[in-house]
Parts: sequence; structure tokens; C-alpha cells
Amino acid sequence: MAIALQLVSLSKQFGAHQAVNTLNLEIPTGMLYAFLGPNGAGKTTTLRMVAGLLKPDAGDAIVLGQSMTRSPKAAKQHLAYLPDEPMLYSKLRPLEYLEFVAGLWNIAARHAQPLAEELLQQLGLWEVRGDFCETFSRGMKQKLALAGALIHAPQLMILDEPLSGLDVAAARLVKNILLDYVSRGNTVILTTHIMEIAQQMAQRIGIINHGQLIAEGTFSELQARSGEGETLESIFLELVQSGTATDFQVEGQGAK
Amino acid sequence: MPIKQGSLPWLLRHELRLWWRMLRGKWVLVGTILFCSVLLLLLLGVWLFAVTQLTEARSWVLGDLRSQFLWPAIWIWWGGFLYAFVQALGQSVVVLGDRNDLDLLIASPISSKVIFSSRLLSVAIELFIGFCGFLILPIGLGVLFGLLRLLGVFPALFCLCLMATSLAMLVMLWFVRWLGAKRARLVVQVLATALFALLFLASQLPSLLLDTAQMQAIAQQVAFLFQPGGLLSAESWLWLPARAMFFEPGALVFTGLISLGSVWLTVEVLHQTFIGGTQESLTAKAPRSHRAPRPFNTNLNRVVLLKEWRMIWRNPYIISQVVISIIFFIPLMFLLLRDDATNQFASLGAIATTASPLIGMSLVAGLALICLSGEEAPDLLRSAPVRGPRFRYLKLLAILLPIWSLAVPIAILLMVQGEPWLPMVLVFGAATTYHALLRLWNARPVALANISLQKRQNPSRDVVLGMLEFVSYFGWLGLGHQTGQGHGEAVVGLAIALAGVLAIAYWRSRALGSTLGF
Repeated sequence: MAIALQLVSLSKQFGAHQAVNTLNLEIPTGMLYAFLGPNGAGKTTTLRMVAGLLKPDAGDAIVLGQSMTRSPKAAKQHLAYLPDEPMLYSKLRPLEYLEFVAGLWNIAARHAQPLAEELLQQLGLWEVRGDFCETFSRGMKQKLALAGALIHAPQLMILDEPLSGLDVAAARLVKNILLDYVSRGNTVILTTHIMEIAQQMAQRIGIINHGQLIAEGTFSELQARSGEGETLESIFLELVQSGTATDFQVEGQGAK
Repeated sequence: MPIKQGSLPWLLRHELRLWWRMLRGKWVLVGTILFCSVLLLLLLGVWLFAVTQLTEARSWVLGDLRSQFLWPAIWIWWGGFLYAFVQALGQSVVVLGDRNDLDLLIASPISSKVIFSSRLLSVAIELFIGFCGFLILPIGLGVLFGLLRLLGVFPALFCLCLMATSLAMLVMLWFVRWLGAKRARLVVQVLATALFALLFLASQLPSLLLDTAQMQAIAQQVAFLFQPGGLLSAESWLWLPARAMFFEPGALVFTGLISLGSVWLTVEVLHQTFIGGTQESLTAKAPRSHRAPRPFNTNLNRVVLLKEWRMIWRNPYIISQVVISIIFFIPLMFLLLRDDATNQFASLGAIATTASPLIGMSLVAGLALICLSGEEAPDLLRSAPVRGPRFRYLKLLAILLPIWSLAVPIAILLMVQGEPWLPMVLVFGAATTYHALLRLWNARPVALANISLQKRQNPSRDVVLGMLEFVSYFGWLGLGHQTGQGHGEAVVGLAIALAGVLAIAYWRSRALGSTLGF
């Protein structure tokens, strides 16, 4: 199976704090991968390095075979990154925003426009297409940012807390969109603090703490190795509170 | 004695604490102590000099205080009122809207009248403290001369601050109900600055444009208003607030009653209107527009330029601030370009060559704030498969193209008038590009939504950038002036000096790296 994302000894230090410590990971294509960890574990730093927003101190992130450090332009071409704070412009309208994003990824207007309109309708933003983004609720902003990520049809999508701020209906809509997107052979990596979401949606789960991957596998694999945890929440808490969890590490720290 | 929680003094103390911390309290305290110490020494020195040397002057001043100082007092009072009103307008936007804490307070068991009273009083007290900083010296001097009645300035000024703040809050409220909260904020912010700029211009232009004879003719035409019994005579009721400054009991009571009445009225109106839904209107959306979608064109250069121009067009506050700041330059231009010997202005070409770089650079600073420092989604740009320098130079172009287009009508006007136009075009183009590069290489990110007037020009408080820009402004002002006068050697000298400053800016950007985040 092709590899969507490969992290090779990825490291990042901020002053004396080692945010990410020699992280190795392989995520195959066509999968929804949940990247979990407590606050300050290094999730966002890892994802920002993968998206090319942060330069690693050591190691590399290989996106669909392209090195983010050596050939960032090629690596970014098929990647979308959605941070927890949506990257929007307060004084742009939704269609103007999507046109801008399509321009950044050099998507032809004849493909971008119908897709933009379809995405706005699908995400329930068509009625507010005439409003500036600054008037949107957090959930609406999150949905528009998701539309921005989907407008350039990436093969790998990285989402940091994509469901925060969404109401029940919107959260279900986004989950369905992501699952449909994965079913078409694309890859999604998401972080979340809601364990039920990771347990329900993700094919594989990686747990990071103190910048290191402490467990990795399917929910069943993690459950089997834990022996105690009934739910992902209990497994997660057990791992994180124990501090180290070499027993849980999959050989080679990768989802192969 | 402990202050009762939830009372007006308790809430007022909270408001003043917020203000104090916004001023970076301890530095203000150190500055105030230093200022007061110097002031005290000055006062003592002047007093000693006066009592020993100026006996004639002393007897003149100790004459009828009101007849000697009524008109200066009137000017001070109305000027002070306008200043306080403009300041209070800006503060009203903050305390009634931008601070976003009214929901918290109104949801608490504290009476909304207490809440609004504390807001109004805090703004008035802040203004009053500001006035005191300016007036302690002259009033202290007056008191040392024996003019104890001048102590009336302080209660009169406090009344003035109460009235100005009340009026400003009512105006702010009226704008919110008339235009909606978002537009009201913008209009009030623009109005606050425009009033100052226009007053400044109005105060300077008559003396610059009219000669003494014309001024005297105008004065004769309006003289009847100032005759005894006239609307603006010394006895007019209009000047009662100013006469309160001389501790006239009647005037002081009148001013006090007016100010208390205005406070009561404002608090009542605020209480009624906020309960009636103004708070909701502060966050309400503007009516939706559903125009047919315009066809996409996703060429990178086009989308970046279009996006930047949309951001500029949709940020009229910053642009209006820049335009208003240009108004302040106009009297300077008149002074600079008038030949005192002949009382004639320089040629149109010389005026344009001198003034245009300054105006162009001011505009560059404003647009760079929106397009470079104010970039809202640097992560989006960095995650796109496009190299950062391309974005930066496209943004530079987005700043410069509209500004360069302003030079076209000026050049055409000069051509039509038969004046040399090429020097103006060259100086304008070079100065604006120069200033844009200074910002591109040294600007820092800033959240436009939170930007205040004080931080506008150099929002990151970057002292080095401030110095570089200061040199740039005056360097190009001089270069434009010398070009207009045809002084080639001076032009070359200034150009070399400016190139040196640009080299420092570039070296600094290489040393620090880009901090814009894209």
C-alpha cells in the first residue's frame, strides 16, 4: 500500500523544551488516522512541520513521496492543512475566499467554481455567501475553512481539531464528508480531544506524549495490548498517565 | 475603608484599574513623579522671579481677573470641550463596544445604571487627569501669584469632562441605532480623528491664506456679535461654563447642574436602550446581499492582487486615518513653499514634487499595515505550494499600484499647466517604492481588528523601524524640495544618504529574518 505520510526522525525543540522528539511514523493512503495526545504533547507542532509551516530541527516529513524539507512546493501540492483556528479573511466573502485558495493551488477556474458552489451548498453556507467571514459563527468559519481545504482536492488532509465549535448537525455533516473523502482513496489525519470521535471514525490511532509516539495501531490492537481499557478514553488515560508505554509501541512505530 | 462590592466606587475602581494597566501603570507613575518634580521646581523658580522682579506685572495680573482672562478662558473651555468630546468618542467605542465585557456586567446583579455611571465617570476622570497634566503649571503659577480663584479651573474642567463624555456617549449610541454597531464604530472612529484634523486645518489656513487686511475686514463684519448685549458678548450665558473657571459661584453652580443633568440623562438613556436591545445590535449582522456569483479567475497574480485590494477597500478606517494624517501636512506644505520675501507660493511643479512623496509615503504606511502586517492567514499562504517571496512582492505591488495611479492625474495637471512633470513622477515613484521596501523588510504582524489609533503608524512599537521611517520621511521631503528647486548637488547628497538608510533596513531584515509569517 502506498504511503501518504512518512515521518523520519522528526524533531523540534523550542528553547529547552523538546516539543517533538525523533518521531517516526508511516501512514498508508486511504485511511483516517487519529493523532491523539494531551495538551502540549506535540501534536500541533508535528502537524505544522508536516504542513511545511514549521521547519524541523532534524528529520523530515515525506508527503506522498515528496520531502517537505527538500521539495516543499511538490509536497504541498497535494496537501491541505486545517488548523484549529480557521485561516480565513474577515473581509472576504465565502466565494471570494474559495477563489483565492483555488488560485494559491493553481486550480483552473472551470473546476474550482462549480466545486466551490457545491461545497458551500453541501456545508450549508450557500445562504450566507454574500456575508463577510467576520460575521460568521465559529462553526461556520470551521466549515468554510474545510471547504477551502477541499477546493484543491488534496490527497492528504491534515485537520487539527476539525469538529470543535460545530453543532451536532454540522459535526455529523463534517464527519460524513471526511469519511466519504477517505472512501475515495484519500487520507485524513486529524487530532481531537473527543475520544469517541477517534474511536468511531479512525482506522488507526497514534498517541503522542512529550513529543514521542507512545502507542500506535487500530483500536482493537490498542485494546488488546492494554488488556484493561474498554474504551479508547480509558486506554488513552492509562497510557498518558503512566508516562512511558513501550509495551504499546508497534514495531517500528508505524502503521504498516 | 473597604469599598462595598458591586457599588459605584467599586466598579469605578475596576474601570480605572483597567485604564491604568492599559497605560502600563508603573512607567506612567515614574513619568508622572518626574514630571511633577520638574514642574514644582519650575513653579518655585518662576514665583521667586515674579515676586522679586515683576512687581508691575504682578499688580496687572492681580487686577480684575475676569476682564483680563475671560476670552482666553472661553477659548480654553471650548477648545477643551471639543478635545474632550473627540477623546470621549473614541473611548465610548471601547467601553460600550470593543471591550466586550458589558454582557458579563449586565448579567450580574449590579444595576445597569451603576454600570453605565461607572463607565461614564471613568472616561470623564481619565480625561480630567489628562487635562490636569497640562494645566497644573499655569494654574499653580496663578495660585502662587495670589490668584486663588483660578482653583475654580479644576471643578469647571471636571464638569466639562462630564458633559463632553455624556455627549460623546449619546452620539455613539445614536450612531449605533441609526447605522448599526459596525458602521457606528467606524463612523465614530473616523469622526474622532477628522474633527481634530479639520479643526487644525481650519485654525491654520486663514492665517496662511488671508492677509492682515482681509482678516481685519472679516473681524469688523462680526464685531457686532461681541458688543455688550450681543450673542457672544462677555456677559453672554454661553460663556457661563468658562466663567466657572474663575470660581464665580453662579457660573459654577450652573455648570455643575448642567453636567450632572447630562450625566443623569446619559445613564438613563444608556440603561433604557441597552435593556431595549442595543447590546444585541452591537453584534447584529448587516443585511445580506445575494448577488449572482462572479465568474472565477484563479490566476495566482490576479487572486493575490484582488484579495489585497478587497482588504484595502473594505478597511476604510485605516485608509481614512491615513488621509486624515495627510491633512495635517497641508499647513506644513504652505509654510515650506511660501517665499517670505515675496509672500508668493512656489510653482505648482515645485509644490507637487515636494508634497507628493510625503503623501505617497503616508499612504504606503497605511496600505502596508493592511497588506503586510495585517495578513490574517499567514499559515494559509505558507501551506500553499508557492514560494514566500512571490507573495511578498505581489503584496508590494498591490500596495504600490493604487498609489502610483494617484500620480497620474497630478502629472497630467502639471503637463496641462506647462510645468515639469517628470521630476514629480520620478520622486513620487522612488519615494513610495522606498517606503514600501522599508515596511516589507522590517514590518511585524499585527491584528488589524484590535489596532488602535496610537499604534497605527508603527504597530509593533519597533523603534528601529520608526527611526528608519522618520529619516525616510524627512529625507524624501528634502529630496523632493531640492528637486523642485533644481538643486542637483543636494539631490545627489540626499539620495546617497537615503540609499544608506535603505541598506541598513535591508541588512537588518537579513539579520532578523522575515517575521511576517509568510
